[in-house]
This record gives sequence, structure tokens and C-alpha cells, in this order.
Amino acid sequence: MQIWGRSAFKKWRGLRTQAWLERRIPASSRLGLNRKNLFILPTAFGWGFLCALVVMLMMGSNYQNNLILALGLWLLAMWLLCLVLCHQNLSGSVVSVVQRPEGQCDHPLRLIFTIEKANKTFSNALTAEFKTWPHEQASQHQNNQLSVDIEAVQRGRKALPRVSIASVFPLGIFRCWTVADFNLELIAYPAPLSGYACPAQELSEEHDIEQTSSDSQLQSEFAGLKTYRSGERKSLLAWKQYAAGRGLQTKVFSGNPALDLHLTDRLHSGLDYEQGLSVLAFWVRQLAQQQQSFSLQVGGQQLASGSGLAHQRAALQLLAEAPKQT
Amino acid sequence: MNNVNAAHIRLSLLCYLATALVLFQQLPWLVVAVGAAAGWWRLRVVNGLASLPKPRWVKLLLVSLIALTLWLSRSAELFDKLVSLVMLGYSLKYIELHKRRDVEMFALTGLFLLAFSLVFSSQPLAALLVLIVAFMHLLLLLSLDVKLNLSWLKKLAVWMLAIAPLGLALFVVAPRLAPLWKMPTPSSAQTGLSDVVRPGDISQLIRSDKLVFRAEFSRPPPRDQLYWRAMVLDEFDGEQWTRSELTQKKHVVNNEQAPINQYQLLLEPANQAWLATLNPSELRGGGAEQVGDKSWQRSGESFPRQILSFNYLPHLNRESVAPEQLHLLTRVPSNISANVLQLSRQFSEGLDLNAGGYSEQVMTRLEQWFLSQSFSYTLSPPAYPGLAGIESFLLNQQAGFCVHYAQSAVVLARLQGIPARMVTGYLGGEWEQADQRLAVRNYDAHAWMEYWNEERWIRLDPTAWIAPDRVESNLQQSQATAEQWQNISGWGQRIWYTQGFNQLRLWLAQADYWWAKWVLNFDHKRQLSLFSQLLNWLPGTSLLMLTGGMLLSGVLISALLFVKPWLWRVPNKHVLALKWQLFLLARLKLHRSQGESFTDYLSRIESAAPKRYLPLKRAIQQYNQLRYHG
Repeated sequence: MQIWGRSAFKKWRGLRTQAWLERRIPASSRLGLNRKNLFILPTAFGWGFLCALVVMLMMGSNYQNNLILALGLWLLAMWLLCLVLCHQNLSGSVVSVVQRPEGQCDHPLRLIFTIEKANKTFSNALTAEFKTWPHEQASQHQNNQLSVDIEAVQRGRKALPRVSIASVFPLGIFRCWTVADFNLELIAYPAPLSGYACPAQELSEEHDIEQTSSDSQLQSEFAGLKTYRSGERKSLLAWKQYAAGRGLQTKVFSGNPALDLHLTDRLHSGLDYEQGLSVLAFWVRQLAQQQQSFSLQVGGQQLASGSGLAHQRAALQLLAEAPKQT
Repeated sequence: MNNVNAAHIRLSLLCYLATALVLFQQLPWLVVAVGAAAGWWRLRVVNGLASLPKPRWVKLLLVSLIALTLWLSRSAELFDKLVSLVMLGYSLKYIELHKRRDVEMFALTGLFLLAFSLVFSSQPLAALLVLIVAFMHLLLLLSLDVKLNLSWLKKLAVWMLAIAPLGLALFVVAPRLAPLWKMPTPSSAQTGLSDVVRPGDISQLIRSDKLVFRAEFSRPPPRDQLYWRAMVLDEFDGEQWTRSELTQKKHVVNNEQAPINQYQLLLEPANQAWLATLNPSELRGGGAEQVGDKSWQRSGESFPRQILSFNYLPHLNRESVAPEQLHLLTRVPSNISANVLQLSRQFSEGLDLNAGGYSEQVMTRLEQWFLSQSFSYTLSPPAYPGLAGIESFLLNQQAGFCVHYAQSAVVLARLQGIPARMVTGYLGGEWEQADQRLAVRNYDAHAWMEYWNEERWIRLDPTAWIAPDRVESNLQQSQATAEQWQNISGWGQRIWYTQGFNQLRLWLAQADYWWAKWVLNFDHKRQLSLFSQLLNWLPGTSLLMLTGGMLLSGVLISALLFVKPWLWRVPNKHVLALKWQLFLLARLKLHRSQGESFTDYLSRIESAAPKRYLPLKRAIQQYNQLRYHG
């Protein structure tokens, strides 16, 4: 009962805080840091430092030693100075999002902010962090670029919580931070899975070709045979012709963008749904690399035929957002 | 940046070595060696040449090192042990510098050790060194967040200097509390006068040039009266002189005489209670009490740096001493040699012990006898142990130091029934500011005697018969002793006290004096007197306002040093005038939109606010004049 009460209280408090933050720092695409949206408090080390200073001052008093007092007071003035410097470090910067976190879910997704400040000055030693993110994240700061690598374990589109941009810059005594809401979303594509046939509808047996993995010639048109020269790929050998005693020949393909491939999530067998999506993700990348145009149908959603990077992205996003099958 | 890299390790090693240097004299060698070894190992680990030990081994090592450190410093004071232990922890922290937290702990421990070092030494040079090493620790902390380079070094230095006004204001205003509890005191290798004197003791003391105290006079004192009387030694067992219980008893004297002069003693920290004062004196301010022999002792258990003020009084014409006490002061060891007894008889031949002026006559004869013999004053006398030594000094060798002369005079006077006692203290001192400020050092230590002339105690310095210039000037200044003193002192002192360095020595002494007076001795009393002076100077203020004002001005000056207004460009008055017009119009909600030219804006204003049209037009014209034709 008590546990329930506590968790309910925590939840209530969290909601209150969220609502308060919503009013104080409303969501926007860029955030100018100022007194209104910056918070500052001593870190654990800052409190420890202050306690140590009190002890030092007491020692100076007990030994009637003015030099110890002077050292302690000088450090106290420095402690106060850190408050100002730490706030100044962030204050006046404008944070904007350059790159949203999007990518395949087996790699860390990179979110990049730029931090701009007037007079060609930089903020120092910033870190960005999603407080409630359950997986790993790592932050890097260089000059005016702040990036966070977020680990996503599942495909999908997910709204990110508020990001806290913080710095303990001079001496680590104070921590100045803001919790900004940039309406960020994380889009994690399914991790590509190679080694399976291309689940495309135009694919037929009449080309008489072995379906080897990573063989990108599959979607191209068969253009004829030519004499084998040593060093050529063995996978392209025309074994049937060799068996018929016509000597070693290799198959030649010509890319045919006009030939439209229709990728779909209904064609794979022996794989579960998610793995099927992974296979699709692999092929989407492959086809886009070869400038092959394709269309995609996933979970009732349809993507019209097209090619190029934008098309690839749209297709991958479609895969990421495909409804989960239970 | 949470991980510690090689640069941090290098910087922390540097910090460690600097801290060890500051505390070197107070630490067992083992601790420093462990720290250096740990740092070396850690550097090897960083460079991939070695690997870190397992935590279990580190723990075992730690426990055994703590035990060893305690054992090594077993004879030291509690405070020294404490410092050694903290230093050991600081040394071993290297092996564990992995995360940000470790470096932070390391830096904080370092700052604490520096504070400890100030308990041991508070010379200006030591303070400067501590400041530099503290700065290095802050640099280490800064390096956790940024990649250090010269510009960061400069930046941190500027920050630290810019907060100096605030720090100073805090220092002036901070309350000076009395010690809250007794702290373990550090062991001190300070030497000084001791309450047990064997002949030859003082000649050890004169090798040291350590400052004992400074004295400031409100009026120039007569230079031949600067006998700083520390304590009376009235019991002689044939080997050594000690203090009787009567002399150590607390003794309150009510004085009604007007003071001749006033002086202040700026005392250096000491490990004994006695005070060297001019006799007779009365306390004007500070914690001290008088004892039976009319000398003064500091009250309390520890004797830190302190300022005491005294009134110098005229001599009493009559003193009262109990006869049985006087009788005790005529006793000599029974086994005194026959030759000395025989020698002493000539001084009272034909004189009546009870007649007036007896003691003066005897002492005059004594002086004449000393002058008639071939006595000489030497800083490196032969050893004169015990009673045999007295005979050998008086009759054979006839070369000695102040203690020998004082001791012989006391023994000879006592043999003639005159109550006499030995006095130790300091003679003269070095004038740092003519007739005003005197620095008294260990080498000014001196011994003389006092005898009872039926009315009061008379000071007599037998050394002055033999070496009169010793009384007038100190050891380095008098021709006769300067060379001797140089011969017995170390080469460092020998160079330091040559003529070439005299000016430098005086400058440093001056700096040291200001340091002692305004920094080290800035106590509650001095703080109050500064505040009351300021209150007189600024009428109509209260203590609260003054304190607040000081803090505020500290903050303001520090803030000014950051904002650097002297780097600002003064804007042109035409620009200002235009800005003012725009501001006035903005209040009427007539903002100039982005990209709108002044001409368009002006025509807009003409219709919207005709009153403001002309001033704006003029401002724009002047601005254009400045901008495009000037």
C-alpha cells in the first residue's frame, strides 16, 4: 500500500514537473538559453568543496592562522565565481537541432545540435543527455557542435523526452543545465539482414539464375553470355551452358531502372515478421545503391515507385513505422 | 569528459611533487617516496608499459603503508601524524585516478594539505608557494573540462586574480573567532631560551638568526637600556641554573606610576610561555600575566603569533622582598672550590656586610678585578662544566661568553653575602626603522645578573665590562664579534649577513614586518580598530553598513575586472542621439521594421507622429553626415 502511495506520489510529482516545464520551456525548434530556462545548482563535488572550505576556515580559526583563513576565503570567492562563470558559459547560446536521430537500430543514432554564441565565443564542455532514456547514450562536444549517440534496440518511431543540455565547466563545482524540448523523434529502421532472397514480386525463375545473397545483379536484366576470363566472379558462371559442353561462360547483366521492382512484406517464408522487415531493409538499401527504382508495400501501407536517397529514406521510414504484429 | 587521460596523470604528478615540496620538512621520507613511486607507476600504466595491481593487493599495500607511516612518525606530534596520513592517502590516490571523481578528490585533498602546510610555516615565501601550488590544483580541476593550453592557463590566472578584491573584502570582514576547541599542535623545531641554563647553552642559540619578536616603540628608547628580560634563574646546583618556585608564582602588581614609554611586542609563534620585556613594564593589552620575578608570561596553552602592548615604567625606588627569600639567593653549592673562595674574599676585605652601600662597593671591586685581569669575550668558548668550570674560567682561561661572566659574577656576589641571581633574555636587536622598530633574533640572546642593594634589584651586565661594544650593537655589527659570529655560522648565513646584502635584508625585513602586522596578526582587535577608524572617517555609518559596503565594493571591483569597461568603445554622440530618438518612437509603438530605410521610416513618422518628425530628421541627418561624409 505504502509502495503504491509512493509510486503514485512520484508519478504525480513527475506530471507536475512536466507541466511546469511545459509552461516554462515550451517546445520549439531552437532555444535561446537565458536566465528563464537555465537552472544552476552545485554538484556533489561542489557541496563537498563547500564543506571542505568550512572545515578549512574552522581550522584557520582554531589555529588562529590568518593564512589558512585567507586561503579558505579565496577559495570561497572562487566557489562563488564558478557560479557566475558556469551560468555565463551557457547563457546567451542558441541551441538548434541540425540532425535528428535517424538510422538503423543496431547502430547508435546520432543527434546533433549546434550551439551558437555571439562574438565568436563558444560554450565549453557541454553534455547532452536524455534523462529517462533506458538505453545507452554518449555525448560529445566540439567547438559549436554537440552530438548525442543514442542506442535504440527496437525499430520504430519514438518521441524523445526532453533533452538536458548541461555543463559543469569551470572546475566542476556547479552544474548549469536546461531541459529543452525540440519535439525530437527517434526513427530507428529495422537492422538490415542479408543472406535472404529479395522479396520482390517481379522476381521470377525464368532468368534462370541462382539466387545468391549479396548478388546485386538479380534485379538487372540478363543481357547475354560472354567468355569467362580468369578472375571473374564464379557466381556469375553459366553452369548450365558449361554442362552442355559450351565452355566456360559468364552471364552478363545490364541494369534496367525501367524495370520496376515491387518489394513487399508478404513474400518471405520461414522468417518471422520482424526478420522479414530486416530483409526488406537490406534490399531497400541495396536497390537504392544501384539506382534501381522500386516500390514498397508494408503492413497495408504503400510507397509509390521511385529511386534515390529521398526515396530510400521514405522506404526505410515506412519499414520503421510498420505496425507490430503480435 | 569523464575519463582520466595521460595529461591529467602528468599534471597530477606535478601537483603531487609540488605539494610534497611544500610539506617536505614535515613528512617522513617514506610517504614522499611512496607517492613518487605511485606516480611513476601510474605514468607507466598510462603509457601501456605496466598494468594496474589488483584491488586486493592495493588494500594490503595501503594497510601496511599506514602501519609503517604511523611507526615512522611514532615520535612526532599528533598533528604531524595526521598530516602524514593525509599525505599518504593523497599519494596512493594516483593508483586510482580513473574517473572524474577521483581527480576531484585528489585536488581537494591537495588543497587541504596546503592549508596544513600553512600551520607549519607562514612566511611570505611559503604563502606564495602555497598559492602557486593551489593554483596548480585548480588547473588540474579545470583540465577535466577543457583541453589545457596556454590561453586557458592565462584565463584561470586572470579569474583567480580578479576575485582577489572579493577575497580581500571577505578577509577583512570575516569574523575572527576564538579557537572553538584545542587542536593538536605541530611539533616545532623552534629553539629559544630555556628555563634551564648550563654554561654554553646560549652560545648554541646565537648560531640561529630566527626572529623571536619585533618591538615597536612610541618614543625612541635609550639604546643602552634595551635589556629584554625574559626570566630569572636563581637556583644553582653546581651544574645548571634553574628557576625557583617563588619566581614562577603568579604575582599581581598594582602600579601607579606614569609610564615613560610604550611599546608593542609582535611575537612570533613560540613553544614556551615566557615573554621578553623591558623591566619594569606593565601590560597594556593582550593576554599575559606577571610572575614572582617580575617577568611576564603569556597566558594560555599555545603561543601563536600575537601582539601584546606594554608600558615601560620608571624604576621603583624601593622594593620589598621577604628576608628569607633574600637569604635563599645567597646560597652557593657547598663544594665550591677553595681557590674561588679565596679569590672572592678580596672583594669584601675591610667592608661591613651590614653597612649601607656594601653591595655597590663589592660589585665595584669585582668590576675592577675583572678589568685588571686579561679577560676576553669569545663566541666559541672552551667548555666550562660545573663548578670546576667556574674556577677554570676565572683563574685560568679567562675567555668566555655572557653566561660565563654572569654566572661568575652571581657566584662571587653570593659568596660575599649579596643576594644575586642570573637573568636571561635578549640584548638590543636590529633596528629596522631607526628608533621605532626593533627586530630581536635568536642571536641577540644574552645573560646578565641582578643583585640586591638592600633597597631594590640592580641590573649588572658583567659582559659589558669586557666587551662594551656588544652592549651597544649586536653581534654582526660590532667589529669584535662580527668575524667570530661569521666563523661559527653556516655558509648560508655567512653570505647573507655580508655588507652587500644589508639593504636587501632590510627590505625583506620590512616586507616581513608588514606581512606579520597586517596579514598574520590581523586579529579581532586589529579588525575592530580598523573598523572604528573607518567609522570615524565616515561619519553616519554603522558597522553593518560598513561591512556590507566592504563586501559590496569587493564584489563590484571583482565584477569590474571581469567586465573590463576600459575596453569598451565610447559610442559617438550622434549615434546615441539617433538611438534615443528610435527609443522614444519605439515607446509609441512605431518600430522601424527590418530592412526599412531611414528615409522610408522618416516619411512614415511624418504622418504617424508629426511631433517627433523634426528631431528624428535632424538625428538622421547628423548620423548620415558622420557615417558617410565624415
